Amino acid sequence: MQKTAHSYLRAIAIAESVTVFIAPLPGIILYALMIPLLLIQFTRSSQTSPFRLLPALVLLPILRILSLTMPTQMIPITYWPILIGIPLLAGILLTIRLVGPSIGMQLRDIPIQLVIGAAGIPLSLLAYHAARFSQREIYLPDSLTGLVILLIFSGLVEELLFRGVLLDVARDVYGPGAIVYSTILYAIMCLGTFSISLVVVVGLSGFVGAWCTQRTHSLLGAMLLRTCFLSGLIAIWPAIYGV
Amino acid sequence: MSLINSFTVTTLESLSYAVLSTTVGVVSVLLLIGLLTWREIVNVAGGQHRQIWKRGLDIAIVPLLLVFGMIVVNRLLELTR
Repeated sequence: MQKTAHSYLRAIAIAESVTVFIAPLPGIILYALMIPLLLIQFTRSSQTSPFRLLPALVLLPILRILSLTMPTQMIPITYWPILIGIPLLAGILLTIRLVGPSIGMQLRDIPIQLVIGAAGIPLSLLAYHAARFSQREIYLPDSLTGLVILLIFSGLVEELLFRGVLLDVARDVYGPGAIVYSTILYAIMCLGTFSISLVVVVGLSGFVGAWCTQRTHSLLGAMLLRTCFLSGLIAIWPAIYGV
Repeated sequence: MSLINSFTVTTLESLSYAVLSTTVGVVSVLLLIGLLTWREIVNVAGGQHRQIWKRGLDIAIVPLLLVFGMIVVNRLLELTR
């Protein structure tokens, strides 16, 4: 099963690279071809636990297809995360119904979860400098409403997908190494930031969130981390540095 | 960062709706039609794994149907303007 998981990781990396660096159409075609392949392989398998990864991986092609096909042009950019996040959330919930990951928001190891959450602030400073160093524009919401929408529909939905679903099902295949697998997938899907240093920092934040989720069996710390990370990157550091 | 990033914002802002709907839009609609057809075939064919098939297909079908619904609403709004 590890070989299959590796193959799909490579396929997703190729499809995302083609979409971002060459042209959206061929990349989306690759993603669209991947969906039936994943579902056929899952259904032909015995649906034993290592194969739970396959339907969960369907969510990544869906994520990219949604973000490029949703008719957002007539709607202010502030509300785009809602438009894209709600259908993706529906897909995530349907995946949980099928593969039943044991994600949760258990209130245990609270000090660790708070510390991990707070780690989002220094990580966001790194990301802020990485973005400035690479002279890449980051999408910045122009209002508090925009920030809250981004936090809920982009940040938290991403956490549910990468640290909630994918990390859990990848554990069946890789054991503790699932942290690395889900982090690499997350970093690949962030290639669209066009900044290697930013992808590395975002990947690092994903790794810390995944470690926290694995350690505490709760998404709370990872979600706090994402909230602090995005708030720092979008609101706190630009306000402090004035850019 | 993965949902909305520089690439998605630049692409959606730089390409017109007409261009997007006739390129990536067509692929997603074809994918949706294919998956819906597949689901109906599974439904009719039966078999012991029918429920698993349907639930697996729903993971892709439901988000794509929501997008399709938004596209239809968007078109209707455009026509009424």
